[in-house]
Amino acid sequence: MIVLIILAFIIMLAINLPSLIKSRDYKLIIIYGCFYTASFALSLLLAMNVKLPSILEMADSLFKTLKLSY
Amino acid sequence: MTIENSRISAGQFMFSIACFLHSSSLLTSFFVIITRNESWMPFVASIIICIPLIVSYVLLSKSYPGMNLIQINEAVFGRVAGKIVSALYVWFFFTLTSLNIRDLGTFVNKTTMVKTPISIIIILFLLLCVWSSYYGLEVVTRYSIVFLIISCVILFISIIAVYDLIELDNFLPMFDMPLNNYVQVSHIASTIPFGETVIFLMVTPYVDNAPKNLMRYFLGGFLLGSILILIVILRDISVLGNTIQYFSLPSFEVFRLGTLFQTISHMEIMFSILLIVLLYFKISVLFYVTMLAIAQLLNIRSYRPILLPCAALVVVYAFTAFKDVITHTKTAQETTPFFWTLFEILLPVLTLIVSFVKKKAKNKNNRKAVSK
Repeated sequence: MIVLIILAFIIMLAINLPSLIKSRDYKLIIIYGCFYTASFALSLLLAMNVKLPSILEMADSLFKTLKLSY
Repeated sequence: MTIENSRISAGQFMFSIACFLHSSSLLTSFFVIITRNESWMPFVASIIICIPLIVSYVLLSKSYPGMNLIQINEAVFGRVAGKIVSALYVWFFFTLTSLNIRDLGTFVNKTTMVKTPISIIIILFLLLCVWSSYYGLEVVTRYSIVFLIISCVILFISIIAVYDLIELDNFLPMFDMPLNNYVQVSHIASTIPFGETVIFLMVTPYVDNAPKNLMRYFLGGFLLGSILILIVILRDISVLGNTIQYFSLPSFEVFRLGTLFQTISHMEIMFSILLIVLLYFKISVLFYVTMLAIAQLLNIRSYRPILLPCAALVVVYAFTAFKDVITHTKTAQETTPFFWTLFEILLPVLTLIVSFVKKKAKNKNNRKAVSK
């Protein structure tokens, strides 16, 4: 599974990076890099069965604490 | 800065809203458990409650013609506060996309492709969404009319198929439950799915002849979609009665029971096809709106390069949002209506009020300057 994820992200880079470098839009390249790194890291963590925190479950606890729930 | 260059007709816009809402018939399972055979009453109440909400969305869009929601936030709240509010909206759109794609994956896995891993189903659907988003708004909403016609035909066929199973007694008894149940279901229905039409504020600048006929088409799409869901709920209650609370997919069971011409039965595949098509449309619109919002927020000239990384983030988020379907359903019934109220009612109404106050102050200053 991890190999498949790495392969998918290599393909993603191969699709997007040439046109990004050609455009010389450095802001877009940095933003792409941030999203790419974040998605790659999180996908690997998920594939390695690392429990990632859920914002919605945290919000659910918060709203229940504030008595804003049915 | 224009990120989206394509335009859609007002009819496409209206049918997109109707299609978007109709796809949420899957989500009726969130509240039929609570009010069972009386679910239609708080649902009608939520339609009436949401009409002023839709009017407020249109008024907000008309106050800033040619601007989408992210641009409106910056114009109203200023650069910094506007970016913060917009970032909250981006997170909201992202969450909706992830939750809906997870629902779609779960539905397909449970009903049609039982042995296929959910991740594969989700990834394949999301790749289709990426493909349509790449070509822009016009491609995303192009088939809304066709999908809606197909869904109306299948709905009509289903009513004919279960006609002999319909019992009007299944609507009784009425007003048999605590008031809190009706309030809860009205709140759930107002936020999931009606309030989710706030995403169309990202699309209104790209509609032809906006803002002239925007009220007519926005309200028209909302009423058309909500009436279709109401017909689905009425059909399900009339066939299943109080047993509706025991099914996670009441409409699926109704299709399973229906028979046409005493030969064609077990038509649940029609419901599956319909729901997959409608949910795919909804997720495409949500994903496109999310990408447009991100591009607008970060001030980049095109969202296309970041489509694939964001799609990967959507997949990760879909799997980490809730640990299972039971938790998701429970949260949707208990706390999500309050949480979504922030994004769908409080923030847009606050934005509208602040914009009115700002414009009034500006007019007052202009009049003072002219009189001097």
